[in-house]
Amino acid sequence: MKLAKKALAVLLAAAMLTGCSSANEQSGTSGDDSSASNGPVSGGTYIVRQASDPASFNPDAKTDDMVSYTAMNVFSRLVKTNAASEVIGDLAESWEFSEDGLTLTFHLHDNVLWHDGEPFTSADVQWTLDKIRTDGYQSASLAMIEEITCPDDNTVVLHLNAPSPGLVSTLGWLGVFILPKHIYEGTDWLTNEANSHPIGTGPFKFESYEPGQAITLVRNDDYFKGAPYLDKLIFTIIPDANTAFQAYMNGEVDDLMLNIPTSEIAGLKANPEYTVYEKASNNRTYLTFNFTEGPFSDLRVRQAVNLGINRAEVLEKAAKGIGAIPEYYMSPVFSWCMNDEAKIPQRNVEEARRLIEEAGYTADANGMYFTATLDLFDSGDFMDTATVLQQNFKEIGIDLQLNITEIGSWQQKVQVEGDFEVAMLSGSQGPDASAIAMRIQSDGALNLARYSNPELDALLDQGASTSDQQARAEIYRQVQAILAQDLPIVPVKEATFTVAVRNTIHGHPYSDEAIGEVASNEFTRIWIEQ
Amino acid sequence: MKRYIGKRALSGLLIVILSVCFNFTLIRLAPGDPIRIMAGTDNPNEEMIETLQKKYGLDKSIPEQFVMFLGQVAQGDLGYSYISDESVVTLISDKIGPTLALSLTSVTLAVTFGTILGIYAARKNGSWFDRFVCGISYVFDATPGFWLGLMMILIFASTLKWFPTSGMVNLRANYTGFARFLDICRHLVLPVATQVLVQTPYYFRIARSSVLQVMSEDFITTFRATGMKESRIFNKYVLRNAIMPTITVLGMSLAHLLSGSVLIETVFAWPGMGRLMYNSISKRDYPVLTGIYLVTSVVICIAMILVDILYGFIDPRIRYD
Repeated sequence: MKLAKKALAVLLAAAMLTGCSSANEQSGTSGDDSSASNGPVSGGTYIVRQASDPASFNPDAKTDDMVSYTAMNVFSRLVKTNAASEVIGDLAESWEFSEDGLTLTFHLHDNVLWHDGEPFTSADVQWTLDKIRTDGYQSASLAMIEEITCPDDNTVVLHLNAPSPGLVSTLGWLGVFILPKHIYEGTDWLTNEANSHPIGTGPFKFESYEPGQAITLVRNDDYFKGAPYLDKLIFTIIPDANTAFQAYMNGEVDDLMLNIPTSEIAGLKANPEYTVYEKASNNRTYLTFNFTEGPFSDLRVRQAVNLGINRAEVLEKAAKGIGAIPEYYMSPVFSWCMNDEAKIPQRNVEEARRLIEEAGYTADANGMYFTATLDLFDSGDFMDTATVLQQNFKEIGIDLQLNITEIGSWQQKVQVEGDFEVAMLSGSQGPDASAIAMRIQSDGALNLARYSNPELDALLDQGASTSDQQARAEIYRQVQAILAQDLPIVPVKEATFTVAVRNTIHGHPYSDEAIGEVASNEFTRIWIEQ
Repeated sequence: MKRYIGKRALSGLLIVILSVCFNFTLIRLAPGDPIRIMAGTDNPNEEMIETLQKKYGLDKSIPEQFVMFLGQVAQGDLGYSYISDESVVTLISDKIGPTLALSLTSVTLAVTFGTILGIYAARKNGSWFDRFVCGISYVFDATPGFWLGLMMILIFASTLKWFPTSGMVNLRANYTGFARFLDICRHLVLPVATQVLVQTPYYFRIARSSVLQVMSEDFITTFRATGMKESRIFNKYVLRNAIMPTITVLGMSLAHLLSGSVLIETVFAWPGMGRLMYNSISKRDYPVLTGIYLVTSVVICIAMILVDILYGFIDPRIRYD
């Protein structure tokens, strides 16, 4: 037994040593920037890690995060969203709304070719968007489109049944990639052969896919915005984040994109060989409550939670400082509509306890008013966040039990059956401010609380169909005022997009050099210093 | 003999059918819906969820779904994945090669090392060697494969740079032919070594204890009393009797040859069956899971029949008529 212990100790010590040295090694020598001034060079292979296999290379039929790297490099959209969450032109050179906001016209690039050599026209756009409207997973987001017309090969006109200022953002989001009509028309788009060998108009052509291993793309010399620098772009599939990080430090992988373990980011920031980019994200973590029954259906208890949670501690301990403390009831990326009169209050434990007492609870010998359960699934830093929250809840006198399941069980219990007290969720609040409706409107797909406020519902409908930016901002300020009053959601943490790039890599989608030109996961402008 | 095999095959078939029925029902009873999981929590589309649930028959009761499934299997079709719409047969057959490369190599090495060390340690029972190997075997037996895998990566890939971190081929090099084979071998070293370290103690302990047990039997004492040479007793009588448990265990582990190791495949990004199964469970991809269970149970049944036949050859007391 003694021997076993010794051996284990030696192994552990070795592990720690190697863990440290692998990180230190890289910071020893600093990057040489001299050749950077020589300008871009063509060639090379760039390897990006993704966590699991894509389900299919049809990016519009079913929701699938794992197809997004391939989709953004093989296909094009009318417009695209860059790493700073701004909408920039893609197939469309320019676009404009009519005066009444009921027609949206896109002017398309000339001389665009599909990867099989066929010419791309407005008919492809019309066919794809019509298909998505009926069968795509974004069908609900395109419901305001009444008809799509093509006055000529380079113009697409969307006729809307109500003004929809958020539509352009939606068309630059996921699930709206333009597919080749000549390949998909008249076939089942779920089983079309092109789903395993996609044909797009994007900067890279699909070459091969080895399930469980890698997706390989090659340069498209005919790309309408100018051929990319890289010869090859490979998405390698590495499920485990620790393994991926080691492969990254060993140079087997060039890019982890947003999946750098949070505990490693500080080390990379201190390493002169890497540049770390941070961009505001519209993704936030929040708590929501059962409005139908239980202690949290009482507004005072929700107010107590809002006052009682320590957001700074969540950010520091659970998120290792990566992210931001939420200040508003809507995501701060929509800075044009923030309501400074309805901000999230400062932490106040005494006030929180007073509110719970006012709601009719008395503390037991341990200072606890009641016991509640938080339902969550294991994702990102959820577990660590829940552990911090558990402590925060204890301070305001709520004994919080954690019910950690995997997402399938969570969905069944919380989303479908509504059988919960407090639930934790995170998710994109975009692309447009109107997307918040999904989480708080009466019939919203992610309105877990079953919260219903007719006044808010009306405001949200109005917000989605008002063109005037100032009027719109006013509407969303009112939305925030109602959220502050009713507290269907209590924001916990704002996410940040954080990527680290080796200094020999140029033109990264997060770098200033390329951010104005490429989509958030598009590698067209990347070149590797020799 | 033929009659025996026929009888075993028939009961094997029954076991396969029962286990598939059982698995089919059990995985569908677990909470969670494949389409809803796919739709995620960023932008789920309720209308879409309903359409797809209908398309894949998920709105029907489990018995109804089972009848649909039997109809498919009767036509030699294992169905299509809900997630990728890819044929289950293709998904599974893509993974068989890499899984066998990893598991067959590991099991062969682990059985060989474990058994040889076990026999030797038993022969030198109580010696320095015996105590040392026993100690080591307890350490590795108690070490989680996942953690050990990461340590192997830290030591041999990150620090010493002897082997690649993960994957099956060098993506930058794009080797073909024999160079590709060598490349795959290089990538195999760390996952195989991890598997061997974790599995060897198991075979070691079985071999050691069965040799010790046989050596303490009365008939061995009798041989000794007749003055027979110790080496002859050991080679001719002890080994033959002591090898039986190892064969039984080996037969059972044949099942894992195909189903792969989820943890090792995940740590080393090895494109095998274990990962396919894990992903399918977390996404509730029922057709793929049912397909994997079907293949696995068929393999287990065949392995069990083979083991029983092998007994007959090794132990003259066992005869099948």
